Amino acid sequence: MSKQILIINITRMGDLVQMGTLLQRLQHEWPGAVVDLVVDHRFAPIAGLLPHLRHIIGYDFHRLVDESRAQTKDVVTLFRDMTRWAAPLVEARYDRVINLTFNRRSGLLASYVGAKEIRGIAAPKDGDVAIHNPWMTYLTDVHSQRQFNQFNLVDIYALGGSGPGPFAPLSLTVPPSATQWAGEFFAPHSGEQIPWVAVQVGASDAMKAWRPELFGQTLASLSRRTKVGYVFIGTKEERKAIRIAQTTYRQAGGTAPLCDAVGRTTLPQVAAVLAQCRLLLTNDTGPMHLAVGVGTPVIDLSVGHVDFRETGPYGLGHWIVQPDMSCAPCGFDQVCFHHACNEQLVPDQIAGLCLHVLTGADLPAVMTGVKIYRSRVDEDGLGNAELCAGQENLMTSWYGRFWRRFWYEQFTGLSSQVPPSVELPPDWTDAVTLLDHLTPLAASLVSKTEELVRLSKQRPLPVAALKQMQTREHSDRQHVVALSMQQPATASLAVAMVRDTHSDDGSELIGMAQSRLATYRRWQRRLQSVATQFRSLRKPDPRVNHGVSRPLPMARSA
Amino acid sequence: MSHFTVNVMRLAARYPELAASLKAARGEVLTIESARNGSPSALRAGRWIHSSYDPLREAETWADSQAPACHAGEIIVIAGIGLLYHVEALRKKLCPDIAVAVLIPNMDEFHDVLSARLLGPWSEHILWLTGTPHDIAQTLTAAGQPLRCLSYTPASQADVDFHSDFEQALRRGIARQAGGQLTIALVGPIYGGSLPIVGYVKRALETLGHRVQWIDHSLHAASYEMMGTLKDVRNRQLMQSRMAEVLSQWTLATLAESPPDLVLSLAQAPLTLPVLEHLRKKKFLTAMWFVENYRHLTYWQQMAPGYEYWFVFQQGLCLDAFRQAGARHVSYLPMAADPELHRPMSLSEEERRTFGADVSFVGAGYANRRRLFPALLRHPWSFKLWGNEWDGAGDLRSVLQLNGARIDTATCMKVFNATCINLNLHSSTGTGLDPQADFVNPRTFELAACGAFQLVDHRSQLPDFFTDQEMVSFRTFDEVPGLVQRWLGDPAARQAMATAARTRVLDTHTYVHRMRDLLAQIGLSQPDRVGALLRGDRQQEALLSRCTDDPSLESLLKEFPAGQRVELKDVAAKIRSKGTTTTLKREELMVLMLDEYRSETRDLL
Repeated sequence: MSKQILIINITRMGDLVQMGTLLQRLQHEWPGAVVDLVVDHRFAPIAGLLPHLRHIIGYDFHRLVDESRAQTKDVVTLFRDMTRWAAPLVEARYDRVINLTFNRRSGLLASYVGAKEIRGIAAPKDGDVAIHNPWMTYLTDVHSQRQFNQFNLVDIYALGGSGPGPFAPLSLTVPPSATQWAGEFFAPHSGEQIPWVAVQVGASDAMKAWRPELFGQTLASLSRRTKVGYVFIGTKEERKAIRIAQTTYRQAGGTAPLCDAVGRTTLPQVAAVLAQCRLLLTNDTGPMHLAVGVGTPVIDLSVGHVDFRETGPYGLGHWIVQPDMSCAPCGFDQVCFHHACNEQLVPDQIAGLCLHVLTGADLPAVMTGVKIYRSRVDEDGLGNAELCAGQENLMTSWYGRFWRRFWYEQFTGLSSQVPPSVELPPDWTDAVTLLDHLTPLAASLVSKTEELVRLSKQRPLPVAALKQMQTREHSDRQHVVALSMQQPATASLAVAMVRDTHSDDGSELIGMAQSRLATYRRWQRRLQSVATQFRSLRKPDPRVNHGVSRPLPMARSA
Repeated sequence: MSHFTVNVMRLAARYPELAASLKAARGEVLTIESARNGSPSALRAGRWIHSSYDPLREAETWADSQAPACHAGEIIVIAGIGLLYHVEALRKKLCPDIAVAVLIPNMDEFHDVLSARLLGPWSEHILWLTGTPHDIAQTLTAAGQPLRCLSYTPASQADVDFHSDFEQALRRGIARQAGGQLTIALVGPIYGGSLPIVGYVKRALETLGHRVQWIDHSLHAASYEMMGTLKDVRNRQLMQSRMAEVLSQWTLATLAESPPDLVLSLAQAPLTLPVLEHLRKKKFLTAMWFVENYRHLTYWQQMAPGYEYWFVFQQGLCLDAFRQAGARHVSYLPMAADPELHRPMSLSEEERRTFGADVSFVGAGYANRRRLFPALLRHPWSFKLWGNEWDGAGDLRSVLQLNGARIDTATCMKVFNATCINLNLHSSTGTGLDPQADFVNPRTFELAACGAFQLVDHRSQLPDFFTDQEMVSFRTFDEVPGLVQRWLGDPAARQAMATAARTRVLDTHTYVHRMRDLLAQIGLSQPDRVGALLRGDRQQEALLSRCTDDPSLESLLKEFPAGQRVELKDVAAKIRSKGTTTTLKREELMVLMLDEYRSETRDLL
């Protein structure tokens, strides 16, 4: 009998497209598996473009928020409506629920539906949340060491929801009716024989939108260099920004024809329009992933708090422009008051990059204030990006590669084919010193927890001794976490360890102690592995200044 | 057999008395004419009450627009008989567990209807409501089912008084039955005449057992007033309007903290149209009691579509004006008194000397008062003038108290109580009595509630509230000196009149009465929401009775005492209160999940 899987992916259009690789990986893992999807009803049309889905189970979660919050329905009605809706999900008895919506409410839904295995956020016995699967845990905590992350969300979904496997690009199937609509949309310009460039000026969050005036200037500059036409896409809500871009375009002497699909398209029709374009110039948005899904090259203007390593275009042949600023990208929940990164992107230079993608012309000789990346597939078959212009911070690039290899090997049990850095990390001396310092502390923490397990098994329970040992274990843990967070060589391990302590799933005292012991032993093993790798590297020349290390922010207290 | 005979025979089985009345009726109210499509249509008093082209299609359209709002278990009460095409169309669209009732204000008209058309079997599933508006309302409220009133306007217009009386009686009937507890956010103004009324309304709602959260913007009055000192008019208006916008957002943020069942604003509450539209989109229920003269304060024209419910203290043209401006529901709700504050007081001799006089007036120096009050000087009786905005009224300086300072409510009550004859002159920007003398001001009710005697300028609505034995009014200001002379000389008659007025206020004109009416009106319009709350449908025992087939939900609800209103958040809180050591059941996971969605606030601001 075929395996049955439920994916919960409720909130965003881009996230839906980005699970395309997971859908293919599941077929690789369990050939013939049937996959159902729970999605907000607004995005159900996008889900319809994805492969390998049996049922798309839409629900108007926004209405649920409105109705429950304003108490338009009583508790009996709300409960009944939802249980009725969820009943087929419960009855399906899924083999696996993959929860790709990282919030508490979806975790409760995942646990309510139940399955032999839940991956992602779930609600354990007490209604709190726990995260199952190391990749899903990694994704939850990635913001705490964001600058070192080199896993794209697409791969994390695929690895976490299924496992390792061959590279599979994102792929959407545009329905013929949408393709026909797009054909008719372009029909008035069919005689012009020009390459169309789609332009997405808006974004779901103002923080991650490049200024519309700069879009306008870029398009005007490009129109003076090559024959091209522009198609504006977006929602009615984005109309104001799009008008500004169009006005600026005209004022800047733009000469190419403009088409306007704003607010006139269904989501499948947007995909069809993108499929007929040669390029999409865009902020990091849902339509960007749509373009990737239909095989149209993308230039991703990665401003604000967008981290292209995490959510940028996946697979081969796309381009990313990243402002070269120490604060870019912003912190995860940070509110920026200056938006200076917008000004780092020079319209003429972005136009030059567009020209390169469209015509094969040389990349602009001078690219200032930005880093340009080209997306690629790495040696492990994962999405990645290589630097084409600009300079990366040495620490960021070294540790990015190091943790990329380390976590891949840790979580998959496979050996990474990505070559390790032959250079030393800039903070090698400090890192080795700290690793040496932490090694005995890790042993001590493990030893105390072994004692904790022993005490918890005694009858009658030695309450006082147990309490004393718990206090010492807690204090030691806080100490090692605080130390670890000071260096990029150890911070990631500490974050993972803290997360594991949150997910301890023992229900009795003994079980809890054993679970905690397993967490510390895992951390100790990882620490030893990192220490071994660092010691195996060549000792640095003390005459070379390798820069000053800086402490990392701790995501949450131990 | 004629249509009439067949129809009456069909009716007689269930309504023998109605059938007998119909046989005795003369008809001749409607003029029956063929519509273009050949169906009978009709005119009443020369006006078409159905389409002259295609009454069937018209009825279908009407029924299509009404049917989605009708829910199982409700009684749908239709005002406007017409030729019953619309009733037939609606009946056929609704499932059998929704009852349809039709008001029959005029037996002769019904006679004509039954003569014009042969009714089908659908008519056996209609409740025919006859009798006085009061009797019908009583019968309906006694049924205890949710009621939803619909109006087929072309036909109901001819019996507007009947329907208005019915609606009022129904509102009162429902108000009397109301037992459930609502949470109400009360949004007050930054300053102004409606500010004290917020306090009265709050107390009244709490007296009725509802939970009230007052979003008090008067806290920001000093800043708002400070902006008023800006000399540049444009800058001043810009700043004050920006502040109103911020306060509007502040209101939204406050509502997000604890969403109420109803957001009730008083006139001048700083809620902007975009915020009101956002609230509506997010399914918040909003109402405004516009306690201002709609002719003088006209910003309601821009705000009309914003609130779901408007309540105004003027009738007739006012209601029409609001509707034309886009108000969805507009109802009449007159002013009142708060007997806790507006009451007879025992005053010391000193207080009587300070605050008393033969004749007093408390109020602001409007143009008509400045023009008329000098005629009250140079008489043998004493006259005192209290209140602010009297600058430049030189003639009246000798009688103006406290140098024209603003009078607080406590002082005002002392003046009312200590004065022999309180003058109550409605404000006007003209030089005489208000030429459009319709509504009755709060002072009328407040004075009466104090047991204070008053002379009030006559208002067209005054007889609706007080009889001649309860209130003395004058139609020209020239009458005032004579009336003062007469009533000063008869303290016993004054006392009797004042006592009768106070009794009337306590019986029917307090803010408690008004709030009961207001909620009943909203409940009538929303039988499945506010109406359900007022009926107590969300109390533990009512919820329990609906889930006997669901033991898991039943067990969750049984943890609450009978009589307590139970909402999703309460059930979730109960589950969470068990702590983290308990293993959650599946139904508890479901409740917690729903509650997570309920707790979302980011989309509000």
